[in-house]
Amino acid sequence: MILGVILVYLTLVLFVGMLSHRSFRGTGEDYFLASRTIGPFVLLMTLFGTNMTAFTILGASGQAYQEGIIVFALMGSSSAVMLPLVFYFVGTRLWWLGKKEGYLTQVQFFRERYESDTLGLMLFVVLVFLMLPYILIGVKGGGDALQAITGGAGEGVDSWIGSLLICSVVFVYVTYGGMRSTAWANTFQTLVFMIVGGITFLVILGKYGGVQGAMESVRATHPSLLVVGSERATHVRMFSFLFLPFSVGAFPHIFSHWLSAREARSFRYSIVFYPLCVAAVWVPSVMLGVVGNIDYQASLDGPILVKLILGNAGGILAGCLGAGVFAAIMSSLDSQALAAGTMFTQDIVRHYGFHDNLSERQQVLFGRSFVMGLLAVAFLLSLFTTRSIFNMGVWSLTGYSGLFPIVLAALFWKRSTKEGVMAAIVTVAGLWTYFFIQSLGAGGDYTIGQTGLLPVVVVVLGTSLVLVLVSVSTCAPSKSVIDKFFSD
Amino acid sequence: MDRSSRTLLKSRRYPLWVVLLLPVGVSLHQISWLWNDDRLIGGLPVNLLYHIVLSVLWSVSMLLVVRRAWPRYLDKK
Repeated sequence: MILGVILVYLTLVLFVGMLSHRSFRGTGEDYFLASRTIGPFVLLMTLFGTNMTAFTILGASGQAYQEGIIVFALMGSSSAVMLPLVFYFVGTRLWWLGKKEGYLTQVQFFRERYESDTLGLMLFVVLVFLMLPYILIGVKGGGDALQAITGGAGEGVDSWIGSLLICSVVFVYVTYGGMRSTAWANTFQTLVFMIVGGITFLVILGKYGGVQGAMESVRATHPSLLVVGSERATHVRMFSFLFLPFSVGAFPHIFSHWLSAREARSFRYSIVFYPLCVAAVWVPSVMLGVVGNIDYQASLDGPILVKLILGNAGGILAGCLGAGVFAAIMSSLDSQALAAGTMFTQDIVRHYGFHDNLSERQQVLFGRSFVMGLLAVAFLLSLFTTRSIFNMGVWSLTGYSGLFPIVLAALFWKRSTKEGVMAAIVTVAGLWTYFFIQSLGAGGDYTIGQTGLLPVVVVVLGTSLVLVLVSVSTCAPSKSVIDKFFSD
Repeated sequence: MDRSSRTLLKSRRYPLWVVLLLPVGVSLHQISWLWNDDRLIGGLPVNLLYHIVLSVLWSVSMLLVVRRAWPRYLDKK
């Protein structure tokens, strides 16, 4: 039953993804950016779906099972507050510049903004390095989730089968239809995991006497899960988590989605409704994790959400949960694979191999080949990856957040220089490596000196400081560059 | 702060009240007066409810932003 529901879901995703191919125009810009025609609703759904990963459905409830409702404040409402501002200030301006100058990737933008191929190459290496573990997490996470839902290790479907299913489906619709397929499939998948999340929430809480009954039970037995706490470390930690959403401003796949918008006004739905979408998905997820403490009090051998569903609902809901998890994973994985394919095609093959002369047909061919290659490599690596790779997720966000000051400077600070940006990229790499080494052995809970301060704060502030100091110490950019990028 | 940065803060692109939304949002997110309160209101833990209300109010604020402070240069053909 569970596998049947998931297979029906995957068939529907393929159908939606391939349906969009009817609008395919055969050009590079159409394959990579859907000819910049994505409207407001699809843009909202695809941005939201891309940012919601398996962690939102399984990880957030697992974290809330251990820490309580503070998880929503840390990860949910921090995104709800920060991301609309990132879309408003950064997304719309990048879209405007991208449309005006014909950019397809971040590296193209930075190369021209700072008149430096070397800077572009440095950025390419860092962006791809940070993206690879993120792609791997999705592939591995899908396999593990399917195994847990179908009975766990030994009894359930082997983990590699789930990973192969995810890679195969994403491969078919991304290589076939590019950005348009990705955006349409993401919209469908985002709606699926929002609806599945809502149904799961209502069914399970119904078994515990509704929201009131369930929360009163938790309050009676685990009151600490309903408070945030007032220790100094909690204040510092709460503040630190506001820096992680900055990563979205530097994600290559979010950049691609921004540039695919039909017009600037397409961003309006994303700016206004994003906080509501976050609450609609995160609140049920966090509450279910907290409710899990009523019946499950020992250390768990699988996701708490899976335990709750298998213990309180039938196979159809478990199948829907599987579909929801697959939806969350694939709606991120497809965008990441496409963005990586776009970068390899445009920033390396086209720029260095063909001196920016590559026919439309060749661009599409290279783009498809790279997407296929990336997914194949991700699947093969997932066979040899342990769960420790999941800790890399937070580290990817830390690295991308560290790059955010560079994006801001490129857009709004005329005096920023290529030397300043290069020094900032080196600083991100250096601080990231230092803190990553420091964190080894500390699991996923590393904070600086156990003060609650996340490394992301130091990385962002350190990068900003170096960027400013080096920029003001070096020659200002040429007037032609300033005119080109600030002539609005 | 150089002249270009000062210009940005006063620019026609972004009114000051929109720029100030960032510190306002951060402050509202950090308010701690309910952090040790385990009351339930309408069945929801009061801390969770606070952040849900914050998300809703933030959405309304963003509606004001896109209605009243939309940078005009973005819509130029």
